[in-house]
Amino acid sequence: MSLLSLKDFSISFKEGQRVLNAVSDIALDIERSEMVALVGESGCGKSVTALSLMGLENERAITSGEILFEGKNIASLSESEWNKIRGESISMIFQEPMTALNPLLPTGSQVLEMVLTHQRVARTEAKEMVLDMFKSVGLADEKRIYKSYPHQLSGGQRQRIMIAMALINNPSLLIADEPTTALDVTIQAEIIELIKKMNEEKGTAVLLISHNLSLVKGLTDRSYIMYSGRIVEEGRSDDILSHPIHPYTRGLIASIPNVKNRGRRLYSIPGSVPSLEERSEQGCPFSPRCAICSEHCFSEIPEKRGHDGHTYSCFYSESEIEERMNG
Amino acid sequence: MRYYLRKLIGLLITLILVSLLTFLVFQVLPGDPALIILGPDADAYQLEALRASLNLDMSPLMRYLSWVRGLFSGDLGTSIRYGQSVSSLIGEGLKVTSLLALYSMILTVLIGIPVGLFLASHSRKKYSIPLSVLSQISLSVPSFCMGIFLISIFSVRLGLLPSVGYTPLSEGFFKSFKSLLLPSLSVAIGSSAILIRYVRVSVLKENGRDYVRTARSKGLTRFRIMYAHVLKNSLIPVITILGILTADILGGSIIIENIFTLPGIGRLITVSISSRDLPLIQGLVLYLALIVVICNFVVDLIYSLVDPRIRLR
Repeated sequence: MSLLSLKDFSISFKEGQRVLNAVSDIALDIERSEMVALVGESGCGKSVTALSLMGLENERAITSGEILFEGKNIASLSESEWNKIRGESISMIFQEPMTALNPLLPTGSQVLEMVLTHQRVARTEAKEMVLDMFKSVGLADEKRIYKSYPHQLSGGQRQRIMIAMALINNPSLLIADEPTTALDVTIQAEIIELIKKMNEEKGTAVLLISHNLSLVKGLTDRSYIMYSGRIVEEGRSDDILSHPIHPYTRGLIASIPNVKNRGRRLYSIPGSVPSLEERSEQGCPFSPRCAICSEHCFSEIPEKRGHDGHTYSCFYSESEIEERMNG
Repeated sequence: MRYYLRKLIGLLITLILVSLLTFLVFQVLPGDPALIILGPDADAYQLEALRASLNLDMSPLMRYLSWVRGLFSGDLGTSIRYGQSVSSLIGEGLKVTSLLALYSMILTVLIGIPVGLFLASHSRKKYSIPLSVLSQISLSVPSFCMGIFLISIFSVRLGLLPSVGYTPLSEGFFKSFKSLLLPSLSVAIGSSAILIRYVRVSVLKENGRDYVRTARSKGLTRFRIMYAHVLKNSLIPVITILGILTADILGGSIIIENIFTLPGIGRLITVSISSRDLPLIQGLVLYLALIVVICNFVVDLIYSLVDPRIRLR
């Protein structure tokens, strides 16, 4: 049994008379202790998916399908049932460590609150746990940081505090929503390594949400590539990176700068992700930007195909895609 | 520490400027103050005597210095209308007005903050509409109407509370409190309506912040998120408006004090202006300026206690 699995999961918003689909029929599995990436451009539905895994989606969002967590469907829990899962079994770190912490409370007490909400321990004991956790996420001088306010710390330190907070109750799943996007490049690698270390040491499964394919490389076990609310390709991360099949994934990889394309103009996928209002509900979502699409791509949605856990959604087979792209 | 020192120096400089400005305003008034006070029929001797007692025979600079010297010894001159010292008159008025301010601020907070919080957390519910309408009405009805309305219910119809007059604290707290309850309520109804709007908007704004999402992701209850996280953050604009409202009432609610015939600062202002009691007016203007400056200072201090980031600036 997977730790978490999404089945036919959709999220939509009602806008006047129209129903806009932000996420359509996605399936996603995370095994225990596994590190999984959900990759896609901004506006493809990654963050809204992540938030709905904790019941934190916008009040106006309508969800359908199943979220099975440890075998139990958590898609339609009440607020108090959610509160037993949030912070205890599933926790989350966010893109903006600058604003994710309460500016008026010392950081230590914000983490302390997380312990006291979910564990029956004495305050002094809980404080010891927080200080230990601070040390293990690489916050030296933990006693000073415990008393510091968020504005007295750097972005990297704040994100470490968020990680400490998220992991202090030993959840089985950590959702990391673009955890490094707002940080300096030098800090990004440190934070990613920290998440990887915590995943290995504590066995916490991680869902890493990112728009950065090169970040995912060598870090996550499996990846899901998302486009316009649908999963277009999934498989082992190294497989997808070395051997992408779907035209969108190929485009994403071709637009990463590397030694091979040095000196040449960097590839970018033509067009941009359609906004929620502009999305066409018919056909393959990528067809308007796809170099190899044909007429029926615009009218029908392709089925999942592929083998050995590496699947993609396209009307063409791997060799056909190869042929059409080169020809 | 440096923050407080800087604020204190700012306070002192403001006070000096305010005293200078107050003094100057009365220097540029056209006409002979003595003649204005005594009227055109006064004889030369009386005028001369009054000019001397008002220090009008000195040069403006000397007059300012002697006035400031008086300020430091608590002597603001003698009221012409009452023949008492200005400082003791203001002191007497302040006893009434400060109690009125205290009671009405307590009522304002007791009504304003809970109702504001309720409206913020139930903003889309139908049953919050009557409350919003009610707060709109209390905001738009002028305080003297509210005062008369309250008198007609609680004093005339029900006979529960006195309609006019002030009972000093020395005659027992309860009696004194009863005499100020209706005026405090008339003030509080209007000012709590203002507070409700500020609290509601401020809480709604804070509710959309990232740290609230983090707090929700921690599995905290809505109640806990409200009082442990949102409330403190939304308090900052609320403190500002409370400071302004307090300064406003301490400055004497002229209308309310007149309706309920309370011998407070507001009454004193009315009398001093209608009787052209220059030393008293001058003293009152200084007092009003002082109240505003001090209230702002206190607001700054409370800010710095609530928000650690402010001490850095």
